[in-house]
Parts: sequence; C-alpha cells; structure tokens
Amino acid sequence: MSPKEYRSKARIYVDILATIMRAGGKTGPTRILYGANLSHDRLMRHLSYLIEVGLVEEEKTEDKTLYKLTDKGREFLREFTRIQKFAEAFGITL
Amino acid sequence: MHKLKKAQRLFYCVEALSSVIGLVLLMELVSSVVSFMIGYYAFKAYKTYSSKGLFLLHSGFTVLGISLALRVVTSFYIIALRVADVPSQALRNTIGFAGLVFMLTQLFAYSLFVLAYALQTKAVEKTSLIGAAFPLLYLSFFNPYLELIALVLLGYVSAQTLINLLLKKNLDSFLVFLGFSLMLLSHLCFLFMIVNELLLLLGQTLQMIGFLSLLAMLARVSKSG
Repeated sequence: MSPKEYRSKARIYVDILATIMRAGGKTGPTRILYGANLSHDRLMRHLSYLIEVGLVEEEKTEDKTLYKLTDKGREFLREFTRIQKFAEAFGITL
Repeated sequence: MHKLKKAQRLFYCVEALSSVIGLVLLMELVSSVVSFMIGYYAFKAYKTYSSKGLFLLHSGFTVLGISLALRVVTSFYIIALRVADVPSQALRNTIGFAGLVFMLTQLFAYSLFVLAYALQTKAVEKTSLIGAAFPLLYLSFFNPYLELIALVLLGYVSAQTLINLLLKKNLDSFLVFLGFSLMLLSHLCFLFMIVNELLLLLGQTLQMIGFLSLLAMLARVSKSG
C-alpha cells in the first residue's frame, strides 16, 4: 500500500489486531502505535471501539496498560485472512 | 418391417437426446448453485470489509446464478409441457424472448465482473427432424450476437485474472483464472453450436468445470485462516 492510499477503518482495525497477535496476543500501546502506524489519539479512539465490540480487552496493572486479543478478536483476524485470500484470488484489492 | 426399424431408431434418438438435455440442465444447475455459493461468500466478505470490488463480485455471481437457475427452470418447464414436438409461433416467440432475457442477465453479470476489475485497474493505475426437436428449443436460448458480447466481456475478465495470477503465482489465483477462462471457452462453444449441436454439451461441461474450479478455490479459502 502506498503512503497516499486511503486506509479503511476495517483495515486499521485489522492492522491493530494483527500487531497485538504478532506480539503474542498481548501488548502495550507503543508497540501497537508503531505496528499499526497511527497517532496516539487515533489509536486510543480505535482501541476504545475494539474494546467496546469485544475484540480487544484492556488489562491495567500498577505501572502500565496492556491490550489483549480476545477469542472474538482472533476469530475476526482468521475471518479476515480468509476474506483476504478470497479477494486476492480474484485480484481484488481490499 | 422397415417402418418398425425406423420407429425404433426414432425412439432411441429421442431417448438419447432427452438424456443429453437432462445432463446439460443438470450441469447448468450445478453451475448455478456454485455461482450462488460464491456470491454468498463475496457478500459475507463485503459485510465485513465494505469493499466495492467484493460487492460487485457478490452482485455478479448472484445475477449469474439467477440467470442459470431461470434457464434450468424454464427448460424443465418446456420439456415437461412436451412442447418440443410442435411448438407454436407464440411459444417460439416466448422462448426466444426468455432466451434474450437470460442472455442479457448473464451479460449484466459479466459486466459487473468487468466493472469490478475496471475499478481495480483505476485504483492501482495499472440436422435431422429428430435432431431438431429438443436442441432447436435449446438453441433459441442462445443469441450469437450476445454471445460475442459475452466473449468480449469474459475475455477482459480472464485477462485480468491472468495478470493477477502472474502477480500472485498461487493456486487460488490459478483456480479463478481457470474458472473464468473455461467460462470464456464455453461461450465460444455456444457461439459455434449452430455448426455442431454437440458443442452445447461441450460448452456446458466446460462451464460446469469452470464453476467447480471456483468452488475449489472457495473451499480452500474457507479452510484456511
């Protein structure tokens, strides 16, 4: 994807979830921020939506906040992988 | 004795033709079901991802499925009525009109596929009395001029899927390319059906294999993840 290309909300959610997945299913905001290429404000806004719909869980400890992928989040990523393969087979860019 | 032999031959020919038409309709029914399945999966994907391309794929395969199913239902109806023996002019006109509707629906579906790829390109900037009985009715479902348009549309779609295959070099892309290419070949057979009626059977077989190829891709994709 070129830098000028529009990234849909769904794509951003997938990038966030995939970053958490790559980090072992649980990680802090800084890693997600770099992995999903988002500003802090935008990341927080998207994370609160993902928590609201049950794809991500927030784990607060004394000194840090971690974001954990839920089973629903894992299933969403699996479904996305299938959709991506389907679209790619036809040559449709998501 | 001679008349009896002739009647027997006539009976066997009618039986054989009925089987051929039955087989053709069965293959078309399978193609229709597969088309609906792919359309449904594309809709599921569209609901998750809201991509225009996926919506056009969904619409295209659903319209194609409806077109194939309608043709199967109408053909069954015509056979059930046993109108093939002496079709009246009014009935011939109705069948002709139905054939035109099916063909236009099919062309509309192919146009949706073309649109899906066109949008994509823009985005990336890149002969006897017996022989005439059933086949004559079936032949009226095909219009050579519209078949030519179908060939052009499917030619474009096949070329796009070939480009995709060359870029991705994976089995799923190959199955999609094979699916559309076989659909293209089937229309080529339908176009020359006037020369040899057996091309109808060949075309229908190619079309069904094409849809089965798309079904194989769908099964592979559904298992992954």
